[in-house]
Amino acid sequence: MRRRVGVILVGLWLALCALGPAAADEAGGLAATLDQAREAFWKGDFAAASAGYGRAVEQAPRSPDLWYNRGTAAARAGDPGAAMHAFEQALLLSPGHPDAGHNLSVVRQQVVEAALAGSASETRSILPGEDDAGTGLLTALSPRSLGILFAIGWVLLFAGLHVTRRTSRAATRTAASFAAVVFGLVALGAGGLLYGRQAVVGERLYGVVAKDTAVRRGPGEQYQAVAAVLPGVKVRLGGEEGGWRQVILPDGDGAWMPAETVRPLLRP
Amino acid sequence: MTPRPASGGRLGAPAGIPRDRWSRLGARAGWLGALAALLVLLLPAMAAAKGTLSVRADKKAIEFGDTVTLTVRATVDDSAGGQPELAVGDLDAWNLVGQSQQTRIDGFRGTRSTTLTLDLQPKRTGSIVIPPFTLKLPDGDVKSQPIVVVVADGGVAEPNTRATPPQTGSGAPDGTPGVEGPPDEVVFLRWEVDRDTVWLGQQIDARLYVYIREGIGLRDFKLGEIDLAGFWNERHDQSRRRRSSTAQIGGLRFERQELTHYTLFPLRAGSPALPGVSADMVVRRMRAFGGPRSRVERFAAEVPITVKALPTAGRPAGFAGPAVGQVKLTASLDQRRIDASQGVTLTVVTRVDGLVQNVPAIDLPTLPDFKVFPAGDDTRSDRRGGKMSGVRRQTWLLRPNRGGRLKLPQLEIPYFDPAAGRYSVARSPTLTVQVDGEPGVEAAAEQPTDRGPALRDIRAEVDPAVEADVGLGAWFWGVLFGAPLLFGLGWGAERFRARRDATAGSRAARTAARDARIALERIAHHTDDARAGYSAVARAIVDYLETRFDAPFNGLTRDAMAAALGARGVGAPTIDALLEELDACDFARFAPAADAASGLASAAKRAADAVDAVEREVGR
Repeated sequence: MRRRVGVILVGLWLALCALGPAAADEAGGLAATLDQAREAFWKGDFAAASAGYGRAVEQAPRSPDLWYNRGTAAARAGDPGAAMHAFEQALLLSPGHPDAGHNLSVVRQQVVEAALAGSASETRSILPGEDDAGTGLLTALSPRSLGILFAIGWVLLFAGLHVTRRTSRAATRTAASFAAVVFGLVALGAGGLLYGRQAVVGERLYGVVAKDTAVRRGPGEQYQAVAAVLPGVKVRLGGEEGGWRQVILPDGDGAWMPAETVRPLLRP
Repeated sequence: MTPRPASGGRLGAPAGIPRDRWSRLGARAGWLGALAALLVLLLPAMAAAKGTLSVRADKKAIEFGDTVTLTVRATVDDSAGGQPELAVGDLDAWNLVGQSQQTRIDGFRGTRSTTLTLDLQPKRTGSIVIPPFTLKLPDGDVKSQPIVVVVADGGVAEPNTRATPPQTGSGAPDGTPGVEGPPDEVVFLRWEVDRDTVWLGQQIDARLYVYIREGIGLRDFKLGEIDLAGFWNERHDQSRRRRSSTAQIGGLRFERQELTHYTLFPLRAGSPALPGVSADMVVRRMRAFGGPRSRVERFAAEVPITVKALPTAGRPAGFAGPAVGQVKLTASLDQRRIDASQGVTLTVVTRVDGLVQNVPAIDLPTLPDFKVFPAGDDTRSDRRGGKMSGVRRQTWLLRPNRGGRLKLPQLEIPYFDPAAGRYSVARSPTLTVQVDGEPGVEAAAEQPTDRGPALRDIRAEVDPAVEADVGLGAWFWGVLFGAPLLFGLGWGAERFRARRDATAGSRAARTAARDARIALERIAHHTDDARAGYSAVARAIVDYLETRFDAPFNGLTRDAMAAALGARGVGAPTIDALLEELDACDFARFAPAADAASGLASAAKRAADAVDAVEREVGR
């Protein structure tokens, strides 16, 4: 028995010895990538910086700051689709990210101005809007803020109920009951938003259009184009068929577009 | 009564008629058969020896595709016998598309009135005669007058065919200037816009309505695709329930339901048009027992919009966007007086009665007196009452480079005012801030405003390990379940305490017997002084009774004690045993010492037995 335990322990130790350097290499590789990307950015090689941050977000996809840097580099490199995707991703991960919100607004403005200044298209044009996915209210507050708000309301609701039960003074009981109702409503509202966010933002899959694309009625070039979608438009993603992705446009219409022209957003 | 064609009724088919034609004739005969069956149903109602008959049509002139409602009213003597007959002439020129019947008995007059309502749709245009109806009575027939209905070719096809009534967004309801009347008397679609001539970028309020004739119901309404090419469209949220109102068009009442609502911004000058839109629906005439229904398709005609290009004359320098709409610019500082080491926040708010995205953001000019830190940009759009408006709030943090009274220049946004048809410039007021003292060398040495492009730069130091903490931690679940748990525990503890307090008396009562037995046992074995032992036995009994029944027994007479025990459910033999033992104890205290010592143990034993007897009888 002792021998068997010893063998297991030695095995674990060897595994750790093997994994440790690999993890360290990975972290070191990411740090080097970031250094290179930052250096490229300061030198003005925004395409290289964008590519470097693109590799970095593949390794650390839940870092809002990395997504922000990726977006800023892509915007400077003249790739508004990739930039807006990265900013949207940063905002999805960190709803209060002020720099990402600012830069997204700037790039969006540039795209809209360019679209309006360009030659008019015969088909309908869909431009990036303030909240293409219609989830502004749900994403305005982070889950943490909503959670704290809910917790405060929830705790004070039960505190109010407790005081209502314990006190013998009518005035105190009335005040405690009122407070319990108010805090119950606060908890209900915050909980509802939290649930709604989870149901809408957490469950649905969104994507950002990466470049000018004609969306069509069906999955193929043979179908009629229904609209021209500009980079940065946030769409809801449906199924994929033969390299074509079904999307729900901001106005609620369904359409198909080449799968490579839309970049999915990582769920928070 | 057997309804029969009074003249020319075609219920049979001549030999040699082709099969398909025969089936068409059969279908017509089917309508007449249905009418005949209805008249047979009316037979009992009209079975009277005397009566009156009236036949009225609601319209004498209709357009092809419309219907005539024929009201046949027969009043007969309810008490008279006889088998009258009702006959109707040749109705081959009509389709029976609806029917209803109502019977009313007037007991005071002894009459029975039956009203038959028939909806007839013409099969051709021209003058068509509805032949007279005949009510056959035993003492003579009653015959109605024939009715001539003129059917005009109104260009409206039969309900189940494609109809294209002219519709526009302005002018007369039927699209023909000066002609009042709906394009369709049953249901039609129409775009309505607040203006059909606009400047490039000017907003248009466009709503698509369906007009439904009063008494008509719609089902399975399917609206076709709306392709708004040439416009930047902002669709207004639609509630599930359509907004509706009533409208009087050409003397007819319609219910007007809003199907969709857009605010549109033309993207190019020229003549774009709101697209023609089709809708497929089932039309049903509302009747008490159901009316005829048919599937129809209707179209809203295109509405041409004239979009004028923005004039080049008078275009101010820096005009961009195109910023079209009423623009207002305000600027403010959060402080008017600061120390040289402090900063001041400049807030510039741009309000536009139009599309805010088209209005360029303010780009601060070079401010040599300040170092500028961009702080934020918040742009919001609002849709109210069919109008789009927007607000952009830009803020900058300014740090002074020198002391004194520093001036912030006027900010400007050139825009085109569509209402006035000319360019204008929105200007903010000039602002000043008093800076006390002189900034330090470091701040003064920093380069003045040159923030380059509006994009903010990357974050130089990024720790990839710092991930977005958007999830809910364990604390959340702790609070979620902990709060009600604590509340429940508090409630439970409170209830437990209350219950314990309530049962404390009974528990003390239960322990009384045990305590008494222990005391008596101790007395029997460990008491050397016999007299004191008897006294202790008596005290143990009385203590037991007082604790057990939570009542005073000490000092009671024997009778009072017996009564008190009896009232508490103790049986007479047990009461007697207890009292005897108490008496024995009293007696033994005055007995000689040797006698007393010999009986103490047995007295304690009897007292214990009496306690047990009480417990058995009173129970727990």
